[in-house]
Amino acid sequence: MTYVYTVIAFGLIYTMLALGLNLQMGFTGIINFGYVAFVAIGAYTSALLTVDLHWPLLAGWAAGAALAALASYPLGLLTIRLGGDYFAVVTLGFSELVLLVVLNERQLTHGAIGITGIHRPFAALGPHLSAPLALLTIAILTALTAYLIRQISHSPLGRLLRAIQANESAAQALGKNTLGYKVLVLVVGSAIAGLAGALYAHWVQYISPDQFSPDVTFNTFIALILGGVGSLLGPVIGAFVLILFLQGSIVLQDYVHVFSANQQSALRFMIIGLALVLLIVYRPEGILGRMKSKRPGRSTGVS
Amino acid sequence: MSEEVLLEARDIEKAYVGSRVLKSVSVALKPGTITALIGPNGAGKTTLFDIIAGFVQADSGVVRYRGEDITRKPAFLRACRGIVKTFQIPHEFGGLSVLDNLLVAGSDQIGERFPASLWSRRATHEQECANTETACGILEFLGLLASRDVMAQTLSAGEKKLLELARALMLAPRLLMLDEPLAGVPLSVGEQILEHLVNIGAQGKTLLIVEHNLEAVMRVADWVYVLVDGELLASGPPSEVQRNEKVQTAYLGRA
Ligand SMILES: Nc1ncnc2c1ncn2[C@@H]1O[C@H](COP(=O)(O)OP(=O)(O)O)[C@@H](O)[C@H]1O
Ligand SMILES: [Mg+2]
Repeated sequence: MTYVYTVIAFGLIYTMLALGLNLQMGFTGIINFGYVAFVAIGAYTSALLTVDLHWPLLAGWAAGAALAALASYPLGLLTIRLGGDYFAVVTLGFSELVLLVVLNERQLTHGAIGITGIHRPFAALGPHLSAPLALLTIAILTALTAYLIRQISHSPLGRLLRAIQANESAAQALGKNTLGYKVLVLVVGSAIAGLAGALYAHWVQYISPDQFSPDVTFNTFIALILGGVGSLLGPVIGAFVLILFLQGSIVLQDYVHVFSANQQSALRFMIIGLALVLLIVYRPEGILGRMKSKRPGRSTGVS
Repeated sequence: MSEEVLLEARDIEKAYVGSRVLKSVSVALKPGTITALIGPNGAGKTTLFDIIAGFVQADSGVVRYRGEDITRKPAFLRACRGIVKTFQIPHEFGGLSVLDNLLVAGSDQIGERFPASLWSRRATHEQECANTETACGILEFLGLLASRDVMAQTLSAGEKKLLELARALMLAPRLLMLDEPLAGVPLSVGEQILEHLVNIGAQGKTLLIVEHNLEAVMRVADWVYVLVDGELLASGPPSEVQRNEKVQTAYLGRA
């Protein structure tokens, strides 16, 4: 049962991550290859504040989200004007930097040893009750995040973000501060990543730097692309398909002994890669992507 | 402050890797007038537009608007202050409906503020309704109303040019700069647009138009600048410019 809980919890946490990335990439067209940095900041902030300074859990989570957002703000101000590709490279560098700081500032972060004894929500109620209740809490927060994204998507703000993605100069010509909106989206997406990081830390109860490798960013991109970039339900579907596949293949390892563990993890990534290629070729809008409007070709009498 | 001149660009210089695209060009726009900028392809008309609207920085020279130096102001701030340009190559928001393309243009939208957009539902809704009404009026005038729910990317080239114009009209700008607004637009619609532009001018708005349909331009413009190879060849009222010999040999003769 605990294993099922963990699979669901990971699915929800990846859903939340994909929701934040969708706001950045799907709505606004910001490519953030350093997404994991904000997950790590959220996880470490909440873990350190609650374990070392005995902050209440909710305050730790809020601080995790806030600090992730705060870290993204100057980064955005300085680099968002660089434009797509450069920004992607800078964010990748930023995530490496955050990882180095976590590894080397041992006094603060406990270094490579990591942080143990992070509390689960409702830990006082004993393991039998705390697991489902913690899961419920994660589910509620994920649902709230999804609701927030949906509200943004259906608002004039969402329309503007899509306009910026479609044609930034045109939006500027209409008086829109596009760089400002991109920084805003970066900050909100980072807050979501930070919250997801905090939830993760308090679910697994132990974090160390190797859990925040670029694989997390990579997996989030995969979840989003699987589900459908820019769609509302896509992140949920994509995250759960990804987690079920990743966890399922680990379970399978106990029964099938054809491959060694190493071979199997390599195989996993090959299968994911293949699935992505097939998806991009045959269904670029994702499993649940937005349907293309199927209107017949319009008369083009004028030209 | 005198409103003799609404916008002035003085001694504008611009070079791209060695080739001088604009050579000390100066223009001045009087409020409530229609000014035409004509010249052959590659003369530098679009570049001058972009410098005035803030999309390209001039190498040297000054742009003044209502007496204020705006040379270094970002494009979006100029648009907020009433300088709105259309693009020669349509810059439609392809994945958005035609109506949404116009609604994006609405200024000071409550629903675009975050996080206020999450709880100011009522005010947002009212503003959306008002903007939709304005937008539909513009779409009807330009003959695009039937396509209001169509994705902008599916429009024909001529319709996209109209959409470009429609979006700019949505802002009711003080200075409207149109880069070849009639290219690809059917003649009858073009005539209507010209008529409307004259009306806009009569309402005290200022227009700057790049257009290849010389006959049309000469008819509506109060003042004409002729740009050839990055240099101002002539300027004056249309009748005068048309008689100018240099213009006739350099440009009109070739047309
Ligand atoms: N971004 C650019 N880089 C290099 N050359 C450019 C650029 N933009 C315009 N040019 C050149 O500047 C000249 C003027 O272009 P443009 O302003 O578009 O002319 P027009 O609008 O009068 O046809 C052309 O020779 C064009 O090739
Ligand atoms: Mg041009």
